[in-house]
Amino acid sequence: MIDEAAAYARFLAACRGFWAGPMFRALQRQVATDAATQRIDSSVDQEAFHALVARHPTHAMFGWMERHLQHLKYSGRWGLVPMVNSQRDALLAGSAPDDAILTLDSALQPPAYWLEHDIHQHPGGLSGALAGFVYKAATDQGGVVGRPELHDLFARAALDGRAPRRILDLGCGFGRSTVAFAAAAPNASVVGADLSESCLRLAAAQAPAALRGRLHYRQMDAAAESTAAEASYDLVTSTMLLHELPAAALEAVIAQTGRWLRPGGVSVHLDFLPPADPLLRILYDGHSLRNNEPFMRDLANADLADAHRRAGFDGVEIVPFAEAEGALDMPAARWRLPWTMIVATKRTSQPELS
Amino acid sequence: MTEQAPTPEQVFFADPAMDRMMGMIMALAAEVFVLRSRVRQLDPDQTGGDEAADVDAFVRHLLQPALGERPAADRP
Repeated sequence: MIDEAAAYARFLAACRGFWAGPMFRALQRQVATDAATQRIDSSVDQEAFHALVARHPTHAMFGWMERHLQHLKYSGRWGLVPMVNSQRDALLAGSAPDDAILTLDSALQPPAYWLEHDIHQHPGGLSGALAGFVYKAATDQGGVVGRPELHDLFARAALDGRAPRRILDLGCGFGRSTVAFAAAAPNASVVGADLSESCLRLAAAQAPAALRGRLHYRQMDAAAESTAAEASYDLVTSTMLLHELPAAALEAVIAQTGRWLRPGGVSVHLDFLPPADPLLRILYDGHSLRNNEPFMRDLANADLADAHRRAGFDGVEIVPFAEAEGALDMPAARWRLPWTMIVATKRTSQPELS
Repeated sequence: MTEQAPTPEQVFFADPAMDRMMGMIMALAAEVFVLRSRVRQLDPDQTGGDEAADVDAFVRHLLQPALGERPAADRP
């Protein structure tokens, strides 16, 4: 019997490939042609360029596709949410977590911003009992985030030859990044932290046996956590967490990170910072709206250097991250989110008062 | 108690009816592809080729008109 959901997923993945490739390139060349015809210099006359893009039919089509391919992925007839719900009992029965590596907080009060938005257009967001399964299924269907190589690549880049003993992985989801850090840092114990109980349960159920002794998953709100010991980590990381935080929570997480790291410890966040190219910047801002990630613009507007300095770091280094060969080439051949590493080192001594 | 009105969906085209029509077209296209996959399984000789190439060709056929560009061969 044909797996209709799998056929539907292949169809959507191919549509997404066309959207990110041929449709994106058509948008680039059509906008460039129209801007030249109308003598609009995108780097000088930003208002006119924005207006040109906003009324461009291929931009409308691009935006519609981005919004609705994601919607169809989660909520269509064979969408992930109905598919996962239909297997509820089997999924929950087949994924009992290893309680020895899981600490849940039954008293945790999730922040309002986390509950109010169906992040990624995932109905119910990441707070439901099956949210971890839906999230994992979404990444398993393809795309950059679903590839374990991305996490392995980031772990190696973040370690950069360092050999930390204790790593804290914030916003760990169902544990893919946490596992990558445990594999890449063989002497480290790694704590994966997240708000989502469902994701953490799945992470603890799927922890590879060979790494289980060095992994722990913990439910916590990184912006509000007060019990984690100060100066107890050598490396604090996150993968695609910061752009999901409103400005106040973003600042709080950076401050907390400064508290958790030992002097000389390092924080490395993999996230999306706004691209310089005017058209890519418009698409970046549009993605924030279309994918229900409203706080992406908070990250774009944040003064990360200042926030890190106030949190006890020696400034911050912004490093473009190529998730695949040729990913940073310009002009871009495919639409991609601008992956970037945000690297900061905790000061080893207090700055002198002037 | 009155029922809470659903949140309006985002609008991308000048005429919001176009947004709704696009939703219907894509829902139909998905149905067609799933049916096509069923036909492939029942009668592989009728569809031929490998499925990865088939889905790419199907989607290109479906979405190429959305770009608003003439095929190169048609250019004067």
